[in-house]
Amino acid sequence: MTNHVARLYALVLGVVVFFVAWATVAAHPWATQPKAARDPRLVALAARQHRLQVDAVRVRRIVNARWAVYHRALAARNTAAAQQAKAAAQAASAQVSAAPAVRVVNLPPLVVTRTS
Amino acid sequence: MLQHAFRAMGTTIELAVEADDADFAGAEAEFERLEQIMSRFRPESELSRLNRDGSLEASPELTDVVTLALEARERTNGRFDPTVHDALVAAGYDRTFDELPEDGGAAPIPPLCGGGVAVDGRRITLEPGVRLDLGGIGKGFAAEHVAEALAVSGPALVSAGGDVAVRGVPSAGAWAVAVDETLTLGLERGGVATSGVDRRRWRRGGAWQHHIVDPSTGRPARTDLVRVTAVGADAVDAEVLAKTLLLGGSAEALASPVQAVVVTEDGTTLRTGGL
Repeated sequence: MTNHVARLYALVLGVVVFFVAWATVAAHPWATQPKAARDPRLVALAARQHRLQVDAVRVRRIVNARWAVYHRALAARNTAAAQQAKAAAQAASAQVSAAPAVRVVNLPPLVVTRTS
Repeated sequence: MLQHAFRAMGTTIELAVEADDADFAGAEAEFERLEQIMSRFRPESELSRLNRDGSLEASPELTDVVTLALEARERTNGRFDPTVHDALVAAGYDRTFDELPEDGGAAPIPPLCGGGVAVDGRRITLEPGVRLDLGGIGKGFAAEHVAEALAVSGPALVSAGGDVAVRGVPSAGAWAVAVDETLTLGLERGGVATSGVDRRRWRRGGAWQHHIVDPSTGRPARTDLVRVTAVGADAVDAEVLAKTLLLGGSAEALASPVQAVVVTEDGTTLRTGGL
């Protein structure tokens, strides 16, 4: 009876030891951390690259905004110019069409104008 | 050339259309409709109601004619003025010309012209005591209006007692409009109108009266011209020009750039404006 209990304890202990050992090996605490210290020239280069990227984004944003403003102004100018040209053409056309065209003729009269 | 004539607005209306078919019945109906709006001799016309009530929510046509008349008054410094109604009535022209007696009592002192008229949208308001006469300009407006409608069939001419409006050019090259027995004008574009003191005359107290009132005196105009035929951008413009030149007299007419034929008191016919 005692031997059976002892064996059971021994077995359970063995299983526990096995799993603890397995978990310890799986965690491989012996692996070394990556080296924190890097080459300062690379660090400076990376920082400069980052600054340049930020600056590029900022410049692109400014250029896009100015381009949009320019395009809006250009469209407005084109519209105004087109309207002016249209108005001038209409005025010229109206002047031509408004001007009466009359001459003395020898045709047989169709109607007589008299005091209405 | 299709032609048609009928009576409306106290005068003879003549229509001519170069087409196979034209809506002359529609044109007559349109003249009747416009007369019902603009006649001062019809008690229920819009103009009569405006003259009676002093204010009116007017039709587009009456609004347009009154606006044109007021613009003409402004442009001619009051020489053309639609507020001559009471002056005409004072001179005896108080009914249609066909109904006027040959003679009547002496004409009273004429009222002043030039009163206030306001057009605000469709609302026309007259200053108290002001009444409008749209006789001449109304005919010109109607002629233009109907000419526009007839032009859907082809080149068209409308003469409202001598106020001539044209649309398009006929195959003859121009619309032949006689000024007198010896002179005919060929009109391709624009309008022609005649104003004169030699027709539409009557007597009051033995004195001759006529329908061309000088707004500055309120009396029938005294001018050394008997008749003026003017060419304008349209019949309305021509009507205004003819009346203005007539009131201005021969010296002013001869110096004017307006194309016109003027007849002086001694019967001389002169052409102006390079005609």
